[in-house]
Amino acid sequence: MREYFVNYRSITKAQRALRALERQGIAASLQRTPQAARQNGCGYSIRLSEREFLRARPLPPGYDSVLVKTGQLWEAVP
Amino acid sequence: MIYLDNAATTLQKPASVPRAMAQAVQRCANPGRGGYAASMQAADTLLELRQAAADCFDADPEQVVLTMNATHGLNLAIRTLVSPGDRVVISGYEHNAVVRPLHALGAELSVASRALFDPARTAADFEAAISRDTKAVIVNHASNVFGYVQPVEEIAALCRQRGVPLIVDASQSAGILPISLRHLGAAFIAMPGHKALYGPQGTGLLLCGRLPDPLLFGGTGSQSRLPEMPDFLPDRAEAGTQNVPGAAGLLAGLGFVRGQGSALRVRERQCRAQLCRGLAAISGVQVFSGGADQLGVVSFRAAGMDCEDLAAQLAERGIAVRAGLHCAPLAHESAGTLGSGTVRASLGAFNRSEEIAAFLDAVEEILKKQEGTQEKPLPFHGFSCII
Repeated sequence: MREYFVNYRSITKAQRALRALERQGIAASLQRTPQAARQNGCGYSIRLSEREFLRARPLPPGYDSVLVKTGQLWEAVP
Repeated sequence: MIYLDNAATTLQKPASVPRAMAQAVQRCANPGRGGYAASMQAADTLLELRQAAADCFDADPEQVVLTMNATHGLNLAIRTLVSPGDRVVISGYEHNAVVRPLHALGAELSVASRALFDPARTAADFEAAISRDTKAVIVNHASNVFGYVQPVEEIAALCRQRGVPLIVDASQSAGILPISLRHLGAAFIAMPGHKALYGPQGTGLLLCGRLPDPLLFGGTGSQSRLPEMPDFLPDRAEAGTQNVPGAAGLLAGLGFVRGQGSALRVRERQCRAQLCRGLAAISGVQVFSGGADQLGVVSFRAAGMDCEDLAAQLAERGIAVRAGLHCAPLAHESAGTLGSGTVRASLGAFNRSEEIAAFLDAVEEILKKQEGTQEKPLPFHGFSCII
């Protein structure tokens, strides 16, 4: 199963993005950025299923990176 | 008690404020540090406050920095914009929250205007004072001593035209007068949470039109591998654990203010007019009143009576006012009251007309009693009242 992590440096940006997605009826959750997905230390990520990720595009602004996790493998999403 | 010291802090709060604070104490952990529900609830509280403040003051939620008071916000703003030796134009009604940080920095202060209740002259004075070498302009929206509403929109327009950053001290006006960060184009607008926004003490907001330099350095829960503070808002200016119970209270206070709408301002105007009329009618009292150019902050003095003595006698009768220089010697110097100080009565949302009447009766009674014990005092000169 593929899961998408939209990573934010700031919890404020991440919270606002989550609320924007929720207003669009997209199911997503906010969580701490997994260690494997971090760039400069702690941050927050919006976690989405593949189906919801595709619905969510274009993503709310302000994110730093998007990663997809397949099993234990992490890949950057261009 | 009749509480007329709302310019210092609003003592009476809506019931929703302590309730929200108590809930936050019980339910909110450290915001932006954990992923569990109690931490997320704290973070949600902060975001809701930023959003509510952004709605109130026409800003983006990320431009809303939580501070411990207006002084903290002003220090952040001043330390960002002013370097030692810089020329800074200020009004003649600034609080020590502005004057002292500038003095500590070794800035060159230029007092643009000492006009009182004369916004056209104040604006013209600023126009003349802002020059090419002006590094920043700082103006309080309303004086904490006299309630004088300064022409901040005109001053902001001048600053925009001349490319000079503006800092607005909205300590007395936030919650009463409309304020728009976007419209003013100010670099920073600082305000306390505990005055006319009806939040608890220990709270304040700094609206940031530009990125501030940090005043405190430390953990933000973000970019923790980097030794530098984050370069984005609000994290850059919010090191350390935030005052979440305070934020919850301030959020409730803002909700109260927004729910009241213009009714707060209308009631305040009525009470101020009653206060000014009543004081002006008492023999030997000089009241500083400015009609439409004044908020519910009214200074007065009584001939032959020490302002602290008058305030003390009012306190004995259960009436709370503030006397002296109100941490704003510059304002008193501008108005010619530096030697005497003034007694300040300041209004809030919970004051009633009967309280104003009782206050006026008490002042009159104290002064009559005083008259009987001394020679006739000399009247004050040099200020005409406008009611």
